Amino acid sequence: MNRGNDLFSRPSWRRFASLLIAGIASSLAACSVGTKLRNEASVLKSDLTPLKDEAERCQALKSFALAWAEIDFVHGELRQGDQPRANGHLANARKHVKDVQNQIKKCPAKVIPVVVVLADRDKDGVPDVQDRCPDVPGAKENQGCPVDTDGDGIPDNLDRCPNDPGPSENDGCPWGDRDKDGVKDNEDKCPDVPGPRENKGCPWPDTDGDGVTDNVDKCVNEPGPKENDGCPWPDRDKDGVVDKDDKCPDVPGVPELQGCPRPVYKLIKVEKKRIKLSQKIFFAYNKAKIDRKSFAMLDEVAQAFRDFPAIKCRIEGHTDNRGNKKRNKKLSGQRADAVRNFLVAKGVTADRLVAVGFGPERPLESNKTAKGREANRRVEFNIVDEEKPPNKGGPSSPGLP
Amino acid sequence: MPYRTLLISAAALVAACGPIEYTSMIMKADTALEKAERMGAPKYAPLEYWRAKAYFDKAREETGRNDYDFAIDYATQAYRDAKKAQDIVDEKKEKERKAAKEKANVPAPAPGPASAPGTPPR
Repeated sequence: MNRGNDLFSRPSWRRFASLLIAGIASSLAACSVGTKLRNEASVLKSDLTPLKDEAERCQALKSFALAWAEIDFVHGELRQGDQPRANGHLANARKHVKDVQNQIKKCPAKVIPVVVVLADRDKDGVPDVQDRCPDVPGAKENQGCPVDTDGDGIPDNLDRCPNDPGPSENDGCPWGDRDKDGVKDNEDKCPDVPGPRENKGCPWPDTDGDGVTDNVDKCVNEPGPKENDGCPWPDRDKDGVVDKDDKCPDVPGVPELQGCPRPVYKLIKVEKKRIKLSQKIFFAYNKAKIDRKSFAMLDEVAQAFRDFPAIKCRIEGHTDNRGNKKRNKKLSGQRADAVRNFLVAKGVTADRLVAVGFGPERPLESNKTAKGREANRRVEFNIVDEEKPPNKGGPSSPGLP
Repeated sequence: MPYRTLLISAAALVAACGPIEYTSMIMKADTALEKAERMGAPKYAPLEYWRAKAYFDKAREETGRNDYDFAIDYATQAYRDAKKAQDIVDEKKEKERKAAKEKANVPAPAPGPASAPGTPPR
């Protein structure tokens, strides 16, 4: 025991022991500092690692790389047991990590692309927010609206006439004018029949069919001439001859007498084909001189010519068969001429009268009896048509009584 | 005596082995780093380039302390990073070339009519 106490009580052993303790303590202290540095380096690295992407974006990779290397160097120095150098590298590493963080801070925030799917109802590729016509497909150049070349509001793809403006009712085509009456078909109630605009493109009707359309016809239900505004001419005396043509508008008459009544003759009768005489025309014996007592009747004949200005007559002279035939024919012609001259003297125009002598050629009755011969001696007024040329039987023949 | 000389020479060779290997590696790393820089690695592969450069500097620093083992490790690390930087530069430049080529090959859109006034489908 004492030997033991002696051993530890020796100065050399005491010094050794104190040195050993100091060494162990120093080693423990160094070990503790090294561990601390290693931990700090690890913490720094774990701080640095997640910054890589941001460092790349913000072009801070140089600082990142240097920080990374410095942290490695810390471990390297610690492996070599050089704590002061390790500490220096750790300080450098901190500085570089700080640089990385600062550069990231200064760097503009990362733009996260946001894909927004914009609504496009008409599927024309132009989103509704930019589409002037979101429900009608259209070109992008036209802000999503369909192209409308003629500007009529109807897109070309629906416009039957894309280059001519026209209403939608006509599929974008201008209204036509089929009947060329100047009224467009859409306003024309009769698009195939020309008519005035005032009657909506339809022709004016002509109810009474008088050729005067109802719009100017003052008597739409009564035919009338244009000169009288479509109304019939008045006919006061109701004789069928309108007043404007009626020389006797208040007395019923006949058309041949321009509305005047047929005159009443005492000695003659105007028939359709002849002027019938109530008695014979008397001549001087064997001469072509009219006897005075026949003047009254011939005056009435002249009056008839005045009353019927349209009639023309062939004055025929006839004889019986007694005596010279040639002479009879000549005398009958002369007597017809005499009558003609009488009438011309009374105002009848010569061109309305033709005198012809037939002699005995056209007897009415038998010449064998006195009565028959008496009937055959005569002068006739036969009415002829204007167109028919007068029967020129040559000059009169004698033989009339 | 000859046995002793041989032993000393061998010991010297072993002792000199560190600097030789270091010299070889540091030269390789230096060349690789220089090439990477010429290729544009600071722009295209900054992480690899700057880390390689840091390791390279550290390797030289370790040499000054005659700690060749660490120097070789750092030089090796520098060389690897420099080569990696070169590869990245190659890859990125190739991508750029392809993109430019594709852009050049895209035909210009044919000029179409200003408007289409033709008769639309009925």
